[in-house]
Amino acid sequence: MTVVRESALSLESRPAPETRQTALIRAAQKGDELAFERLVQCYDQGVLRLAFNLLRCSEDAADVYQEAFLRVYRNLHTFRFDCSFQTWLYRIVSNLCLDVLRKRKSRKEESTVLDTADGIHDRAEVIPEERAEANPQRRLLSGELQRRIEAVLSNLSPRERMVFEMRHYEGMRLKAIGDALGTSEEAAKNCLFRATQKMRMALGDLV
Amino acid sequence: MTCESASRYFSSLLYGELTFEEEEKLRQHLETCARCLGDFEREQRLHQALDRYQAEIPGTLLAECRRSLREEIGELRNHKRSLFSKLGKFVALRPWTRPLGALALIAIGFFAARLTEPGTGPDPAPVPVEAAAYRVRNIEPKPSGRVELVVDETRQRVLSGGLDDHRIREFLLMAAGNSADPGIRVESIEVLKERSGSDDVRDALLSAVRHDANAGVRLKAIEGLRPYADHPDTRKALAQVLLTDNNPGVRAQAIDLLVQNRELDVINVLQQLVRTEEENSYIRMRSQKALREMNASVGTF
Ligand SMILES: [Zn+2]
Repeated sequence: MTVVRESALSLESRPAPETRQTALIRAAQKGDELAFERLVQCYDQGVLRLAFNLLRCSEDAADVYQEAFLRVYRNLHTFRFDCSFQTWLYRIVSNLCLDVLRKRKSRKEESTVLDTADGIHDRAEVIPEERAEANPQRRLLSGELQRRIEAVLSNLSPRERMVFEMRHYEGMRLKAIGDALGTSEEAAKNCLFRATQKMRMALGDLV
Repeated sequence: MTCESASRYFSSLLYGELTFEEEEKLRQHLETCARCLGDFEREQRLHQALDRYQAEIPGTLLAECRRSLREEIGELRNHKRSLFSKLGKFVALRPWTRPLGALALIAIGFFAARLTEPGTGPDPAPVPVEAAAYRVRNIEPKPSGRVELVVDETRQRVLSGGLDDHRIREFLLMAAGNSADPGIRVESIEVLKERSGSDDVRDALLSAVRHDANAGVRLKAIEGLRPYADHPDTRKALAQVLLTDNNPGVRAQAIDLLVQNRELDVINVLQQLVRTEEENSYIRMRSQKALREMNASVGTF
């Protein structure tokens, strides 16, 4: 308890992040509401950013957010500190995001097969129309480049997309990504390599 | 390193995922191979273009997500609670004497059962001796001089007793030192300071003055030490506050208390402050004023 008091819960104390985090988790595991809320708020922006960037849809991102933290809430007592909390959390989040991506992918493939004979090429043309959500950031990119990025990203496999997203936008280390996805650092690295290779092939002439 | 193997390393270099040796080899190759350097620069531009593709989270989305999570968890909690009351184990009669909302809580967690007012129901089970296994949630002084505590174990219960009741005292001391909630720590000290004549209470106050992370708690503890301002331990703690505390209000309070007695050690500390305090001119002025009032020299010469 002394540990909790000194390091976890007072806004004014600034102990080493790891100690603070561990204390927060332990307090939340014991049912401390404030600690749980703080714990959520340490990570929820990153989680939402990952989900939104990946899924490019507010509702889907909000669903992932909600479900992920509810799972954390229900299962926090099973967390045993044998990996970092972030890894544990991102395992949940990445599974949820992958589910959404896979569902979308299969829906899209079904419809593309119906629509055209030449699936791959046409899919790339179709996607930008589907994702017409306004995004001020994208205006910084030339229209052509933006369309091509969207096309190539949506043609990555869900896993490649996930690894790329975690590494490029979330800045996670490959080791952590491997842990979160339940695979090795090497496998995550290969996956990232395939993703960047595809992007280089698709976009190299534009940059 | 060949051109082909070099190109495999480009994105790893940009992601900072190369070992020292790998990076050395790649950099050496790039210095001598114009074609690879050109490819590498293109890869950099590609990364930059991808950076700009990052979406911005719509303004209110995070707040909405947090709110609906809080609601959902609140419902889970209420569901649990109603299950328990159906079991007839606990009776929920009393509203919180302090709004939980003020603590910015997500409403979750403990089975949050309220017990009946003391006297209207069966006596709670005897409190085990180790108060440290519990968490004090609420403190309410009663006019009769009794104090009522709400304490978490796996459920919450109301304890009631005088300050001389060792169980009550133990819970309060524990809450003063260990509660995660600064509000509870302040209230514990507020109640305990009535007994600042006891060593255990004074130790708790001194410890709060020295170590509590919250300035409000430290102020309250200093207030509690006022009758013992001339005790060497108190003076030592106050001198430490004066020199190291990061809160000007707490330091000003420490000056007030210290200058109640004109003693050489205080004068030394104040003179040191006048000399060294650069950050906070208010504290410097206050020290100067206190020294003048004590007819002591402002400088040390
Ligand atoms: Zn080369």
